[in-house]
Amino acid sequence: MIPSRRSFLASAAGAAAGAGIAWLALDWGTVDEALAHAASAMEQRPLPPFTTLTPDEARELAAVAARIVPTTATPGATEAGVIYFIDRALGKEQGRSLKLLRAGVADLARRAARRKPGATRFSALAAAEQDAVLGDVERGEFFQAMRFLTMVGMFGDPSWGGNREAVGWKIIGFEHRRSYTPPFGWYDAQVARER
Amino acid sequence: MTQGYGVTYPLSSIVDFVIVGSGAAGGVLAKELSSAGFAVVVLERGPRLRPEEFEHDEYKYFFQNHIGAKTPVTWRETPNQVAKPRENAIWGAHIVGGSSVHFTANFWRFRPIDFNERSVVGDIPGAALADWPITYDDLEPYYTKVDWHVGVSGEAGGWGEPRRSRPYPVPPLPVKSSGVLFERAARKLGWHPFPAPMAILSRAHNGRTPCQNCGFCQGYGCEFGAKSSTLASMIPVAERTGRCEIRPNCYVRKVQVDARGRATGVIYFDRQGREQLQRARAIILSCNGAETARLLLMSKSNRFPQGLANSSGMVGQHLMFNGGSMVAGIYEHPLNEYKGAQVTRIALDWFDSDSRRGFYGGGGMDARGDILLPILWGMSAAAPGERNWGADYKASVEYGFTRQMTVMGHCTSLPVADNSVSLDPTLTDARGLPAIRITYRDHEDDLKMMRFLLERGKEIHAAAGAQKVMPVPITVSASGVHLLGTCRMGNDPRTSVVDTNHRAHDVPNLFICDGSSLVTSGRGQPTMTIMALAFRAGDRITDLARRGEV
Repeated sequence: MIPSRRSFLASAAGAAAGAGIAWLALDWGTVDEALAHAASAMEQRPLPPFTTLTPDEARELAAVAARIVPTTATPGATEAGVIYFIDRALGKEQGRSLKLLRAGVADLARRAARRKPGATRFSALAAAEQDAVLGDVERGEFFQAMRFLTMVGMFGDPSWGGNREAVGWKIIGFEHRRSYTPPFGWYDAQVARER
Repeated sequence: MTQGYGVTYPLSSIVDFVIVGSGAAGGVLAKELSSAGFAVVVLERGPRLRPEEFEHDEYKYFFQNHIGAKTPVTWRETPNQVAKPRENAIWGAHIVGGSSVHFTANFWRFRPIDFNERSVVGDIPGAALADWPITYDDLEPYYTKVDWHVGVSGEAGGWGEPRRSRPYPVPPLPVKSSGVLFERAARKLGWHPFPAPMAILSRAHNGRTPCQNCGFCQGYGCEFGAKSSTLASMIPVAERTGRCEIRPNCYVRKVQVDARGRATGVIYFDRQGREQLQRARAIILSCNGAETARLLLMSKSNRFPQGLANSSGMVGQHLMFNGGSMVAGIYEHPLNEYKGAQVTRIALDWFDSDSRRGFYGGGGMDARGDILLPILWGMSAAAPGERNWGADYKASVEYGFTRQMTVMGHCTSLPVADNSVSLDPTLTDARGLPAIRITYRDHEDDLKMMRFLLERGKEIHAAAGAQKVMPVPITVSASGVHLLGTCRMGNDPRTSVVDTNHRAHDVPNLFICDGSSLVTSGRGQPTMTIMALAFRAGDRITDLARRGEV
């Protein structure tokens, strides 16, 4: 079941969209403070140079990642440093996607120019225009690869170069520990209370 | 987890048994035969990992298949098609302990009906349903051995439970929120849920550590040794006998036979890629339902032109996966399903086939954290038709991660002759050996049973008060995890590959014991039965060897 589950998952299983914002704000407590902390952590730590991508390619792919997981009331791909994961992975275990992503960057530049005369790159468009361009390519191989890499860079183990300060884990409520003691959730705690 | 070190046999030695594969069956047989006094070499294709090497790293283990099986696979639905390469088509682990290292650890016993269902329900058109040549009662003592020696947690007296000679050695794991919701809903619907039997220790047992509820079971190795893989439970015992050598990174390509038709040894590539020969008085294949068939088919010779042990033509046929269904649901409050073992409650109310349903099939259900870790959830939080990126999607990912659970159905697969493992005629692996070619299309009754369980899954979520319910549509299988039935056991050499002693009908000193031995698929969760068969095979082979009949 697992592999088909994996491919199915890319499209099917889901969540109740929209209902989560109030809870999230509560859970994060001081959202602004957290965002400021993530931003300053990004600034203060000397950023590693890109090893696989050129600075131009990195800027464009980072812009795509930032539309896939945007910065909202909570940190997104930018704060998580997703592009550093992608740069490292493309030099190693995801090397076979490098050509595809380079072609994708060029394609996005052409599409940006068509949408806004004079634009030479995707990252120069406003967010809404970027979303429109990505909406045109979202079923293609380039976008699928970027979506996958962005999610790994957002939610994977920080040791792979993304998910800085574990911000990806924090925004979904994953506390990564090596052991837990029951009760684990609200419903089993409720049963424990009733006993 | 004790990691002992066994004996090292010189390459020139002739040992009593060489076992190919160290997983659910091979690990048990290594322990049983070395404990009985025999000299045993176990050749394992994958590496040996130390407990501290089992990391909580989703990207590495789930998305890079770090310990996953590496043989290339091609796939087709029917024999008249050309099979095409398919990644992750079958899922297993190449590692000492095999797939028992990374399994989810659901340990349901088969029931009496699984062994004689052909006699009870009669012929099913389009299938080759057969009775086993052994019964549940024959296997019961060995299920009990699995409970106690390998280590299973649970509570006796579950709905419809067949006779058991001993209770479980340790109680069930702590119930999770998925278990609470499932149990509550199932009772409301008039069903009979009970604690899931799991091959994960809830308390210390046999000198091993209990579960720490880390949640990294499905697809991961357990660094605590609480999950009852053969690596944690059997292999250390085998090595402590001083008669068993586990030799990792050894890829067997052929079973060698002599002019009399007896097996003499196996040829393998060692860690450095050099070809080696390990000779033995008897050979046991426990490579799993795909690789065992592949190895036999690769072991062609003048004497065995159709492949070894294949005079019946049955090697590779009757492949069964177990059907399944999945319904995800989102709840009001956090469940945090990423904590703890995957499954804590099940219901087997649909175990028996029921002609009133209008088709053959039986199964059971559980609730679990299935899409339980962050990357997979990050990929998966949109319903069909919803945009799966951007700010709204991000909100869904954030909201749902702690609030989701999946209700899964597990059911029978009928044995169909065309569903098979064979050698791909063109694709090869890095060593030039043929890829596994899978031919598989679910029997229509299997698909009907999956759809039936999908409906039950929706009912569970509705009765449990889910905010949102997302069934995964049933389609023909595009991959398989349970690899069953390809060297089926039987009394008739014309219609089966091994006898009730797991001895190949065609080769007196060749034994085959793993998922390939199964005659029927059961209702899912076959590993416990594979281990029970291995304990039984250990007894039978020991008797034969002591009588000089091997």
